[in-house]
Amino acid sequence: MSTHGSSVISRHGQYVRTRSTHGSAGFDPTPTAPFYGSQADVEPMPVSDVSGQIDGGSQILPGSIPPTAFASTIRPPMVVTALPALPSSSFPQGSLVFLTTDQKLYRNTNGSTWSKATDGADILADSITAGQIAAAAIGVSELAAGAVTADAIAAGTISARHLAIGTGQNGNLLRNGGFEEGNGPSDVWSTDGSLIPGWSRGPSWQWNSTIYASGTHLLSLLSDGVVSNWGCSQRVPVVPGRTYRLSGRCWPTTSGDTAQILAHARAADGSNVAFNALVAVSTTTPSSQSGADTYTVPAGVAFLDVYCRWGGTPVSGRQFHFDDVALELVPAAAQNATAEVVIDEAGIAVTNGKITVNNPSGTVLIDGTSEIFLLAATGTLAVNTPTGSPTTNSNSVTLTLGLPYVPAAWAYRNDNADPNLMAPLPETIYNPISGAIRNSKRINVIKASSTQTTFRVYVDHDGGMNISTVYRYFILSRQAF
Amino acid sequence: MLSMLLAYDADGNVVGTLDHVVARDADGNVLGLVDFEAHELAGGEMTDVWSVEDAKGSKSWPEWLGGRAGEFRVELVGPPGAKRIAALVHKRSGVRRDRAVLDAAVAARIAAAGGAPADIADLVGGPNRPLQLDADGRSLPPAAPAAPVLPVLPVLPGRSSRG
Repeated sequence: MSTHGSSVISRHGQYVRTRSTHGSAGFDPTPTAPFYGSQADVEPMPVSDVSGQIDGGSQILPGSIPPTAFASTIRPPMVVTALPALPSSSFPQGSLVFLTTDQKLYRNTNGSTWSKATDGADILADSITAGQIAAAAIGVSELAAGAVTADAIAAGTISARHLAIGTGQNGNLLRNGGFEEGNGPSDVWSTDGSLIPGWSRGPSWQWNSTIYASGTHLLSLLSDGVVSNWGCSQRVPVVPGRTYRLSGRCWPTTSGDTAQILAHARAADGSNVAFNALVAVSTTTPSSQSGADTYTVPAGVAFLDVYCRWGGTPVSGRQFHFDDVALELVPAAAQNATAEVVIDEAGIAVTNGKITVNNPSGTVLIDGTSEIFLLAATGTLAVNTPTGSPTTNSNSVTLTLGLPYVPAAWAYRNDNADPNLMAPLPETIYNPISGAIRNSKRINVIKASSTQTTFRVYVDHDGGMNISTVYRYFILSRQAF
Repeated sequence: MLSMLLAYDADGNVVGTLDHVVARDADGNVLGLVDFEAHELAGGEMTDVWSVEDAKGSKSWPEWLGGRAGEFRVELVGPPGAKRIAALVHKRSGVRRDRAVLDAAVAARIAAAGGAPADIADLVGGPNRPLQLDADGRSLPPAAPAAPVLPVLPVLPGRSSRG
């Protein structure tokens, strides 16, 4: 038992303090009664006497320290079965609770709201791996515009059947042209730049669900009375030489104000090439007006900036509405102005048997009513003229191959010794007859004819030719087209 | 080998020729040129291909003579039912064009090519490209193309001569 100072520690480890008799009479350490129990005079010990002496594991009663006993900067997490109501002095800003019903850790972020969300900035950079992302969790809306470039796509993975080319929503090069996507509340004027995905914010805008031309939403703009020709825009890369079609509908709420859907042509560095290269709609009518325009991109143009905007400087507070904005690639060489030729998955459809091919030097017309002749066979026939008249001498050739076409025939007199004697048939040859006074000439007509199976060269004459004449024939097959 | 057809009368006079026939299928698609010699060697008759009025028969001949074939008569060789034209004899000059001599010349040209394609056009001519013959029926050498004597404008400096 210690007698140091005026304190006595009993054998049971309990501090006991006696009145100090230190001084005149000295200290009588010998107690007259046992210490343990009620006969001792016990007084609280000052904190300074126990600093650094208390063992929390064995000298503090479990559950005896309330949350309020902690320093103001210390807020131990609590396990709860329901989120405590806020604001609460028991749960000031920074408090943490573990909600057993959803097994999530909640934070009191601002004194009045419990939040289980994690700030993206709190995630260690480059720490999220593929295995931590749910399958199909990343959609197109999560990709930044222009993030996917050609060199990021595996070669040969995109085939023609993946390309949506044509009119209609499926071919829209604009993202969210129908304004069906939104990142915030509907029907509230906002300056939040992320409110309507795909579009850059101009003035105050609204993801409007109370009026719409199609779907469930449209874009509404609110004029500020200061800036002219202002609105939302979206940039689309384009290809020189190709034709694009811009369409949409818009209207002002006040008659006389101008609502416009148009596009400017920009160079690769973003500089302007042509204002209003496309003007799909420009209207002062306070009801939905639709329109479209086409534009063939010249060299030097890399982008089209599509605008949904007001025209001029309308009075502050005027509203303008836009919906169904589409920028589409017009298929090359698929249709002309009169839609005479359509190229689609079924091939080439020929209207009335006519395919018209235009070239810089004119138009080549292949007409199904025309005939194309192909050379099937050629040779020569010797026509030997008999004497006497009148008679008909003939020679003929018959092809017996059973060809499935209708032959036409053409022949000319062909004497290789004298090319000047070449002449197409029918040919009239005048032959003098010696000794005759009258009929001084014999008239011989060399002809050719054909049927489906027989080609024939023959002579109609009233006398005889004094030479054996050879004729070249051509048997042609008339091809249906 | 590709060849032409000669039709001849009872006296052997050539009365008709067939330079080529284009074979097509039932849909009219071109299959190729009919090989008359192959058909003949296989025992086929030329009446399977054509018939000529006033002709007694027709056989294949390995060179193209165009209308000048009418100046010749044929000499046949072989057993009945398997005859072939052995030679053409010019009816006026008597000049002979023998198949054996022609076949040997073609074979020598092919052998000299050493496996590469051999041009035998100067030996046999071709469909629509008959051999040029003299008045006696002998082959003439191919005519060399000659530039015509015409006024020529000089090429300006700095410009391509191909214009």
